[in-house]
Order: sequence, then structure tokens, then C-alpha cells
Amino acid sequence: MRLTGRQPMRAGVLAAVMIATLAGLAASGAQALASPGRAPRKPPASRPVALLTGITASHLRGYDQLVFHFAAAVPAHPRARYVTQVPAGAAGHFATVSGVTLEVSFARATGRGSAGQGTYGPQQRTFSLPGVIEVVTAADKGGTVTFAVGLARRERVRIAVLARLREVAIDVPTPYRTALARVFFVNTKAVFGTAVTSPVERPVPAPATPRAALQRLFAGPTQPEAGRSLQFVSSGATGFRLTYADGVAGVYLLGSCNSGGSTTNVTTEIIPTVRQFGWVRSVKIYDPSGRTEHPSGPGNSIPRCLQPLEDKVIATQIRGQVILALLGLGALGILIGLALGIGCIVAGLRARDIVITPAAFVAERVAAHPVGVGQFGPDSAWPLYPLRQIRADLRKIEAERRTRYGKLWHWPGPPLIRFIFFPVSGAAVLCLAVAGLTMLGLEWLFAAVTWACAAIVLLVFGAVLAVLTGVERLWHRVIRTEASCPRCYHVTARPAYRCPRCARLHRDIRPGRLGLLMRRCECGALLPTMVMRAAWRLEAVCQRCEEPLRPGSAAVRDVRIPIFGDTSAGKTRFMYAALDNLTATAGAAGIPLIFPDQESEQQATLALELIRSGKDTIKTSVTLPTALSCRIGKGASMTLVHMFDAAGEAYRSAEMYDSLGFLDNGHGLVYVLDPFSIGSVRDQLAGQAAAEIAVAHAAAGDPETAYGEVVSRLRDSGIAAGSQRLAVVVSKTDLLRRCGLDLPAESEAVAGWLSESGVHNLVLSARREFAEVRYFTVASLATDRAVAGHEPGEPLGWLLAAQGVRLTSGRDSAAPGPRVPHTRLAGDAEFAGPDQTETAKAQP
Amino acid sequence: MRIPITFVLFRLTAGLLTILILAAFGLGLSGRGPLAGLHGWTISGQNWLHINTGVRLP
Repeated sequence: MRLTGRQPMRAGVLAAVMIATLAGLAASGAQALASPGRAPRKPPASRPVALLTGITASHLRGYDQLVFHFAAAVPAHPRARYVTQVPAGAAGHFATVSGVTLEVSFARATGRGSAGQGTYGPQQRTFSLPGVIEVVTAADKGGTVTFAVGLARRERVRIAVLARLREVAIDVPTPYRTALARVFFVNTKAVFGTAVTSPVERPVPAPATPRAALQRLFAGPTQPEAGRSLQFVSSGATGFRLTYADGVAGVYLLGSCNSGGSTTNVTTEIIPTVRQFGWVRSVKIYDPSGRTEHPSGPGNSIPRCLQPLEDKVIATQIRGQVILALLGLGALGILIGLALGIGCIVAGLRARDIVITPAAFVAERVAAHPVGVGQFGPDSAWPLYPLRQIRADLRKIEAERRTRYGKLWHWPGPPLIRFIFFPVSGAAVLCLAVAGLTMLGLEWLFAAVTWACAAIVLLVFGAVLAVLTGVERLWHRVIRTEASCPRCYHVTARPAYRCPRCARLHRDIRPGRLGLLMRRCECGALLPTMVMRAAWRLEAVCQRCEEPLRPGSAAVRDVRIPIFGDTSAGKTRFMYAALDNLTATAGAAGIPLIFPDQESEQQATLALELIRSGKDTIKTSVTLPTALSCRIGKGASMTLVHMFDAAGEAYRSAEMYDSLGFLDNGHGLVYVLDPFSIGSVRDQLAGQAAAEIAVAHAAAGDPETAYGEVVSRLRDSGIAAGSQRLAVVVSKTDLLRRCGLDLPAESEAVAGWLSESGVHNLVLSARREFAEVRYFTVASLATDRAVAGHEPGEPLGWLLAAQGVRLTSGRDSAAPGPRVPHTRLAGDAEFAGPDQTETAKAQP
Repeated sequence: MRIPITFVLFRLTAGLLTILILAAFGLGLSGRGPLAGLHGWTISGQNWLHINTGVRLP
């Protein structure tokens, strides 16, 4: 290269720079030689020394995190690398760890305080983690702390310096599934002075292998486990090498081998740790020289260096014989206990005298809750097993256990004999004690299982009970179901039912402690529990008079219509004619109308024959009437209609005044008024139609009297007439017509005619007393001869329409009036409580 | 007096479940069944017995 004129000056500057650079390199060369390899950067002299205060490790999602905690400062450039050995403090010594070795070092850091004491805990610590096995302090000198970290697998680790937290975190990825392996450590809490091992679990890479389990064994227990007296007895071994062949695991110990003659050594831990894997049939343990006592053969083998001393062997043998004897006695006691325990359970369950029969259950219930005046006793049916019998069974089993176990302690002979033969009697005592504990344990287990079953059953029971009760209440409220007695007129939401086999009465058929869907009568007959189901399968009877109710009572809508009026007013004829008209109307509309019981059917047959033949009705008996019932409709709209027809004398007789209970629970009233009993009408017809007047058999009394009696009775009984409909029926319209008096058909017109005819007090009172009043003029004739506009079915159709009973008869029934409020009955209150009450309140 | 069949069924169920639990416990000690984790107790017991008595159970 050639130089120009300015080049000599540039060359001089370049030479000066090179000399300076060489001088700098020479100055730093001494330090480079003192720390061969890639030494950590030298921190500035002003940086303080980091003091290690703790080491923690935890498993996070996908990796284990090993954290070194520092105080004062944090090492700026920590180093981690995989090595085969980590030099320890002394020359030629190495820190050994289980698994893959990771060397971690921190420059300008220390783990010792000013007095030389350790500042971060033990020098070796084990972790129950899938990746990090243990951390061992290798060296702490010259301002550098070095650790050997044992890892399960060689993974690419990541180091993070968290300056603000003064922590150094090393993340060890664990990208593998894990399984649990058991590791057996010696438990220094001896049992009867003998050695015992206790297993702990470690997460290892799946599948778990003997090698992984042994790695965790040689890492020792964790600090909490050490606190529970677990320790690793190494017998001088520092590691192992493992081979497998045909189900035989060969464990070659590394390091040294010396058990000091103790019966508890490293084999105590190795054998169960390796044998936990089912495919390992035997374990051969070799000393560091590769020797063992029985290298071939089926059993386990240990090296001579781990054989216990002779005296210890003898002591162990003696102790072993004692232990074997005790174990034998214990095993015998367990067998005796199992046999006797099973016998107690079987005998307890087979005993007949402890069965809680329905009669016994009723007696218990009555004793606990005495039956008050006006109440009925509990029903006589079998209670559910979990609610009562379970306690009797377990008590009987307990009694059997006490009796049978007590007999075992009745020994023959005087106590002196037992004292002389103390070893025998002592063994027997031990055996019986174990037998007693076994019996107790078996009894408790059976009781726990029984109660658990009962709890499950009762949970399901409670849920189903709530549903069934809710369904029944809903049905009752929506459909407005009731049961009314056709004889004593008692109305209840829930009648009694007669057992078809023994005729015993069941007064509270609701689901409950006597059965959920079915209950078993004392006679053994199965009965349905809900009113909705029992109504069609059992005979319902009145809670008060115990007379049969109409089939379907309390499961369908129940409508009661009393028909009242003066003597000879034409009530019975009107009822028959109305029934005939209703039958024809329902038949034409395709609505089923049947008579649900034989009594009603016979009465209706006679009535319909009579009304269709045009004959006169006979005088109604003065005795209290039995309802004439019919069932209209089907499905949810099915309705039981009861019509009550009492003789007119009943409304005048003071003795029978209180017996007219059917008036109290009516859903609408029909007042039949004989127009021939009105004085002005009689005066008007006098001398004109004597024959018709004679045929009419005019009612003798004042038409307002019978009405007044009924209204007074309703008022006296506290019945809200203001919520009821009243149909005022002017009967015998056909006879009036023949007399030349043609009555109007419209309600208001009829009311006006009545007022003009002198019964204005009745008209005014009816409007004041009742929710709605409608006036009808009726010719009580058969349907085929009915006078247009005076059909006898119209009043009933109007009243039934108010109860939601749809009939296509007449113009008013198609358009129901205001719905009359559903009266709340005494039986309704029993639906309010969530629990079954065993007594049914009688009607006052 | 005839005891309801539900009583008999309940008692039989409780008895069968008790037997099943005992069987599961026994199988578990031998390393089988749903309670196979109890096998560790057996191994500990065997090891303890072997260490202290020299008896080696199969």
C-alpha cells in the first residue's frame, strides 16, 4: 500500500489507538485468567452483595417455578446450566442430586449472615413437584452461591430476575402428563418399638416407573414430611442404578453401603417403593461392588453390608414371634367379630317383635300428639321404613350385639384359674377385645350405610312429596274440587276412604310418612295416596257421617244447588223437569251427563219417567233430603252437580231449621215460587179457572215467608249470601197460561210482574241480599212439551254457568255471569301445611 | 302379620351395600377394584411384617 502526503499523520494516530487498546487488553488479562470459561460479568464495585433469604418452588400451569428470594439486592446475572456434577466446597467433592443436574449460581451473593449463620434454611430441600425434585447447596464462598438442582427431565429452563421483588425465578417446563408414585420412607415414630414405613405420593412423569419413584426416594422427604417424623435412611448410598429382567428389578447402590447392623436400612424403603409396581415380582439389591446375597431365586435379596447383626436378628426374631402371635390373635378376633357381627345384624333384622306395626305406630303418634276433641286419630297404615322402622332395627342390632358379646365374657371357673393361666386368659382377652371392636365397627358400618340409604331415600321422598303436594293443591284450586256429603251435607276438600279389603277408614290419604304414591293398610292392601287417584279407585266416605260419597268426589268440581220454596210450590216437579231438560240439552250438545251412583240413578229414572209421563209428583218426604247428583262433562271440566230438594215444611219447622245444612254450602239458590199462592193472582183468577186452580194445588203459605226463612237462616249461619246467585223460579206457568194469564219470559219483566202482584218485598230483599238475582217463569213439563221461553232447565243452566259448567241450554248459560267466589272450606286449611297432619279436623 | 316388601328391600339393600363396601376394602388392600390405592397399606404392612418378623407374605 502506498502512502500519500497526509498519510504519515493518519498512520501515527492509528498506531496510538492500537497501543492503547493493547494496553487495556493487557490490564484485563489477569482477571480473565483467574476465572476461566465464561465468567459472569463483574458487577460494579458499588453494587451491594445480595443476601439469599429463602428458596421456594411451586407448580404453575405447564411449568414448575423455583424462586430464590434475596434481600438488600438481587444478583444481576444469575447463571444456570446442565452439568453432570456440581463441585462442592472441598476439592474433589461433588454435590449429588436425584435426576438431571442443573447448576445454578449467583455471583456477588451469599447465603450467610454477618455471623456466618445460614440465612435461607436447610442446605438440602425436596419438593413434591413434577419437574423440580430437590435443591442442594453446593458452595457458598468467594461471593458466589452455587446450587445443584435435581430435575425430573432435561428441559429448556428460563431465568427471570425480578429486581423489584428481589427474586430470581427459574421456570422449569413440565410439558408432560404426570402420574402419582408412592415413595416409602422410614417413620421414626415406632410402633411397639418396631420399624415402620409410611408411603407418600409424588407426581412423576407418566407413566410412573420404579426409576422415578427411586429418584424421589433418594431425594428424601419434604420439609412437612420430615416434620411428620419421616426420614430417608440411606445406609451410606448416594444413588442407584436400576435394571429390569423378567419381573426382577436390580437396584445397584452407589456410594457406600453400611447399615450399622440395624434391621432398618435403605432396603426397608427400596423394596416397597419398587414392589408397588405390580409387574415387579422381586427386588435384588446390590452393594456398590455389585454383590448381593441371593442374586438368583424367586425372592428379594439384599447385600451382606445391609444384613443386621446377629443379636439384633435374635431380638428381631423374638419380637417377631410375639408380633406374629399377637397378629394371629388379632386375626382370630377379627374373624370372630365378623361372624358375630353378621349374626347380630341378621338376628336384629329378622326379629319380629321390633316391627313397628301400624297399630304400634298409631299408638306412638297418639302418645306424642294426643287426639283432641273434634279430631280424628292417625290412619292405621305402615309407616315408611326410613321414617320409623330404621331406628327400631338399628336399636335391635345394638341390643343383639351387647347381648351376644356380653355372653363371650362369661367364663367358667373361678378367677384364680384365670390368673394362673394368665397367658391363655390374656390372649383370650386380647382376642375378645379385637372381636368386640370388629363387631362395633361392623355395626357402625351397617348403621352408616343404612342411614346413608335413608338420607338418599328421604331426599328423593321430599322432592317427590313437594311435587305431588303442589300438583294436588293446584288441582284443588284451579278445578275447585270438593267433596260434599249427599246426606249430612258436610263439605270437605278431602274425604275419608274405605279400605276395600278390611273396610278400615283412611281419613288423610295425602302423600306423607305413610306412603308417597301408595300406602299399605294394616290389612296389607295397597291404597293410592292422592285424592286425585283415590277418588276413582276407592270408596270415598264422608268425614263426618261416614256414609258413602258420590264416586269422583273431591277429584272433580263440585256444585251444590239447593232448591227451596213453600209447600206445594212445585220444587220437586221443577227439579225433575229441569233435570229432564238438562239431560236433553247435554245430550244434544254431546256433553256426557250421567248419574254417578245407584241411588241417584234410580231417583233420576223415576223422576224422568214421571215427568215424561205427565203424572203428578208425590209429596216430598218431610225427612231431610238426599242429594240428587249427576256428573256433567269429562276430563278437567267434569262436574258433580248435587241438587237438594227439601219439603217445604222443613223451612217452617223450628226443629229442622238447624238441619238444613245444604243451604250453607250452596253455589247458588233456586227459590221456587208458586204464582197461585200470590193473593192478587188468586183474586184475579177467582171464578175464572176454578178447575186449573184446583189442579195447581196452590201453596198455602205466603211466598215471602219461605224466602224470608232461608235468608234469615243464611244470615244467622254467617253465610255470605251476597256472593251467591239466586234464581227465582215462578212455577206452574203452563197452568197460569191455561187460566189466561201469560207471564213474561224476561227476568226484569217477571220481577216487575211480581212487584205489581204484591211480592215486591221479596224482589227488593233479593236484590239487596244476593250478588245477582234472575227471575224465570217455568213450565215444569217434559222437554218435548216445554213451552218456549219457559224451559225448566234455564235456571239451573244459569247457576251452573256461574260455576264454569258449560251447557248449550238457553241463552244465558252460554254467557256465564260473574264467577262466584270459591268458598273456603274447613278442609282447605289442611292443604296449607307442608307436612302431613295425621288427624283430620271434624266439621263443627 | 306380613311385613311390607319395602322393609325387606331396604334391609337387603343396606346389607348388600355393607358387604360391597367390605369387599371393595378387601380388594383394595390387594390392589384391585376402586379402592386399589389401599394397596400401599398392604405393602407397608408386608414390609413391616418382613422387617420385624422375617415373615414374607405372598
